[in-house]
Amino acid sequence: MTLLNGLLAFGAAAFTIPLLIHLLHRSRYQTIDWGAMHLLQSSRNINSRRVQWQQLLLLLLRCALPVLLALAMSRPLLQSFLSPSGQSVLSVAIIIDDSMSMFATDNSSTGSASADGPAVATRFSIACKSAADILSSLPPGSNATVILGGAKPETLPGQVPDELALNLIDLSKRTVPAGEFTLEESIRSSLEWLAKSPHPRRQVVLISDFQQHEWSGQKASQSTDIANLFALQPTVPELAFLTVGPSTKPNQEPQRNNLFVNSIEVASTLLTVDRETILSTVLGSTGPTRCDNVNVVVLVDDTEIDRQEISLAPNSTTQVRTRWSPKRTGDHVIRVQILREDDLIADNRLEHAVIVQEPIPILLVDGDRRGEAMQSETDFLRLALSPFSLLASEKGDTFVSKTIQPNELNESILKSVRAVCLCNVREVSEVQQTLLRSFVERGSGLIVFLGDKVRTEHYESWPTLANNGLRIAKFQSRTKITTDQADADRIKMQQIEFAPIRELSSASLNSLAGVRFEYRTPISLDSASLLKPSDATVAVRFEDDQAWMIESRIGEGRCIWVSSACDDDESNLPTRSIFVPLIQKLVAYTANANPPTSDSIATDGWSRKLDTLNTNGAIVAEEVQITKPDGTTGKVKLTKEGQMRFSDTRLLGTYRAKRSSSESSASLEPMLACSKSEGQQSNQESELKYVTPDEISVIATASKATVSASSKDFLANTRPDWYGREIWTWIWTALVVCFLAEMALEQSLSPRSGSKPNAVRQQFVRGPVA
Amino acid sequence: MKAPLLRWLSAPDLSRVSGLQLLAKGVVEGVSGGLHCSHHIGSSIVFKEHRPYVPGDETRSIDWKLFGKTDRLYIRQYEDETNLRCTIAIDQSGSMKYSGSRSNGISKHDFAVRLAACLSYMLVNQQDAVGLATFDSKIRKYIPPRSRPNHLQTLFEAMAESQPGNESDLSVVLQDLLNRCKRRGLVFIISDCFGDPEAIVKSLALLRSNYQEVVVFQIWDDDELDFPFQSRTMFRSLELESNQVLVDPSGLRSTYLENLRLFREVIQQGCLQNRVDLISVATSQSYSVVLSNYIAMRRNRK
Repeated sequence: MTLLNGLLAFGAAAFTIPLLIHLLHRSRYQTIDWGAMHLLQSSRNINSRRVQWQQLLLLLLRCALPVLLALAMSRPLLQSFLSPSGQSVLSVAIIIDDSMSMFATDNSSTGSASADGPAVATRFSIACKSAADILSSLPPGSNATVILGGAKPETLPGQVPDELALNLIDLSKRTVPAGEFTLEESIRSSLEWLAKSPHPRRQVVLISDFQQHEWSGQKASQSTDIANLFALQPTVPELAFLTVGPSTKPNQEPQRNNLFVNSIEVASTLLTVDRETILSTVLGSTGPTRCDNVNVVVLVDDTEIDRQEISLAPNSTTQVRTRWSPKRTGDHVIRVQILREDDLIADNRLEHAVIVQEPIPILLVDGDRRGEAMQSETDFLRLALSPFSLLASEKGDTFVSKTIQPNELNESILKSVRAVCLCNVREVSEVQQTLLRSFVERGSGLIVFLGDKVRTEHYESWPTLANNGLRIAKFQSRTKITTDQADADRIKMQQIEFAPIRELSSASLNSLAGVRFEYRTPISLDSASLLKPSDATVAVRFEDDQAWMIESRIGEGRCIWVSSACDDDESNLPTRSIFVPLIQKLVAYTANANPPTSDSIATDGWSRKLDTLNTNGAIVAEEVQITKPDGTTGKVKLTKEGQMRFSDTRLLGTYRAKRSSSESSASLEPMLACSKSEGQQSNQESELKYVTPDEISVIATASKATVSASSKDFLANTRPDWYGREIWTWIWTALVVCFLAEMALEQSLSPRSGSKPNAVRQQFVRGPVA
Repeated sequence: MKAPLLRWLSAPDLSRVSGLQLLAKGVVEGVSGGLHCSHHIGSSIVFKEHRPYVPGDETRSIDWKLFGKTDRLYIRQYEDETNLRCTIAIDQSGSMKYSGSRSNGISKHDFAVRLAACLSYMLVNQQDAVGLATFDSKIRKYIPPRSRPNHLQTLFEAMAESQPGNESDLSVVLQDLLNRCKRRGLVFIISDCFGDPEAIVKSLALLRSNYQEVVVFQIWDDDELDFPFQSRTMFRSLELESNQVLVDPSGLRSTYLENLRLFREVIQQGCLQNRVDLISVATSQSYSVVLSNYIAMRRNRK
């Protein structure tokens, strides 16, 4: 407890006055010669004990009066018992939801955002300002932290409340949302910070718009989980919810429509120059009314390539398809934008970064070259890899293949390709094996198709993987699959985990299920040849569980062994429609081509392997400057292997990177880009559906939290606890009660003068007449 | 030095009581001429009734006027007047010494003596016989009732000599008084009646059973009636010096008053049952007013 006018509390010492008077009174007495002793004696015997406690009570009341008076005038503040005496400092962790929905505005305005922030206050800016208000109002000596809860929670630097408040004012101008609100992680982060706090008084404030999908359905038990998390803390912090947005309105269809861009997909698995692809954009609308004449613009690298006008029925989606033919290699940013203002502008545009590559050079080593068309071992492969080139089409191919004889395989030719396919090659010399091993180790790919020309005993003699070789399998002689081996002639379609096949369309997979083999060169995984079991796996099997494809990783690259030929000598695979996509996927997979069209931001951030050497062989750059979607920048150093990893990828949008030389500050390299979007989750954020006030009450009760609708309400409710609650009114009330009690008790103990003696003075008792 | 009479009785008091006549409410007996009626028919000047003459009656009693009217012989009969024998008992126990702040310096004993003097004066004036008994734990002085005018002086001197002190035992005194008052009469007891109330009532009943008319003047001080003391007080007994208590009166007050009420109730009920007049008076009152009010009450009752 704290006293605002502490000096006046010393007046409590006045309680000694009635005590002294009482003690003096007891030591002094008058002497009266009395006649009615018999009445006095009996009264004394009956009354002694009652008199004693009545006198004691009267004394206590008289002593309490000056104490209460002094205490009331000193204006005490009653604070939490957890607070050290005389202080009200506390530690506060503020969690701000910065997911997509928090960037909605709650009033209709057609203003546009500027450098100073959004023209109309978004919920996020309101949340930041509310948090700043709370931080500015904390008692001196308190410390605080601010955690942004979207995607991976981010703790703002600093613990001094005033500094954090200033940072939040700047942060309120942000217009770019982060990923989905991760409440549990944010709560855990706040509790971890509070656990290290020096102050026993702790509080967590959650500022959010309380979307339905964050609190209902599968997440309905979240509030109980939160309460349990808090209960496990050695010092249980207080929890407060501060709602922003219209979460007090009943859960109904939003009053205004909200249009959003849900996703952008690129049809091609690999993008190459001059090879047209289809960009498919899904757009959606939530709201009660139909939206007509909605203009949608598709831009690539800020250049408009398409504009369409669409209509959307209430709560529906539609797709816009745009053709695009890249004109240069490198990273490109595709942006789709809805040209209409609504409550949530952030979801009216979506960016998708793609990588356009040069056609991937592939080397085909033909072990059975023939002059007739489609008779050589590699003819089908060539057709599958470069169909447009062979057909003399203007369209580009993803791959550029070159066919050689086995004896032409050398180091110089390997330098110019990304993958090698050995197609029914009888033998590979030791030198060539060593070259191939180095080739794969550096990150390239090798596919070995066996066939009738292959000498299995030669391949058996290859050094194993464990011995710096390439062999990972044991080989048997080529066999014909007979009719009694019913399961041996087809591929086992169940539980295929191998990525190139798993990613095929269902139509392709159906086609694969119809492949029939006549011959195969049985191979089996040789565990003894591996350094560790995970070095190789059986990727695909026949129905009789014999291996069809075995995959291994060697260094940075991949190697696939296929137990059948790549032409139609041993199976009908080349004649099936799956052959082209299968071969392209296999080759792209082994060639370690970057994700088909773009990087993806994983949980640990944006990773990209870059060349550390330029064409002259000099180390190009060691540092990369990253520009985040909100315009802020960061730097990341490349590893020795040229790996870039940027972990600060909370925000939705496109991250742009430029390499800068360590010797010069000028940017040398072209831009790299990677986009982050919510994907399917974005639809939920764009729905703008909120929990009702009743639901918030239930959630708050389950979480053991208080609810406030604004920072003003929150501070009004909480400030008395921070600074203490003045209790002088109670003390004044107690003082008045004691005073009245003292008067009443004194009156009851004092003689009543007047009436009674008069009533008995002249009293005649008349005896009856005799 | 003032005459004993004037020492206690002021001129207004004297004038107030001088015209009063105390009448016995019951049958009294006496030999000398007094104020009070007797059942017996005697030779007095108050005509009572006629009765027919029977041989043997005294001829001087014949009403000749009536004979002349009725031609029959009738005897005139007269009421027989006799005197009242009163005994005034004055309590001179230590408790009667008490004088409170509101009694103008008059102790209960002083009040009792004044009352007794007033009574004596009135009775002697109406030619009744008056006796005196002063007592505490026993009768200290007893003067038999006389009706001679100079008896009043004797009474006053005895009253003057009485000094309060010692313990009281009214019940014993009343029994002693019973033995001394052989003939019917009127007994005035002027006391605070402090003692065992039931024993006192029993003694009163005994006195009444001996055909004595009893009137009790119970003397109180105002302090004894309302116990006004606030501060811590050492109460010392006026009857027994070793009996003293140190108390906080404010806490005792309610219980003291309750005990007082009970005590008085026992005395009152006892007097009522035994047809004893009980007059409770406080020393702050005027004794002559008290006496005159009492006499008036008796007269109205008769």
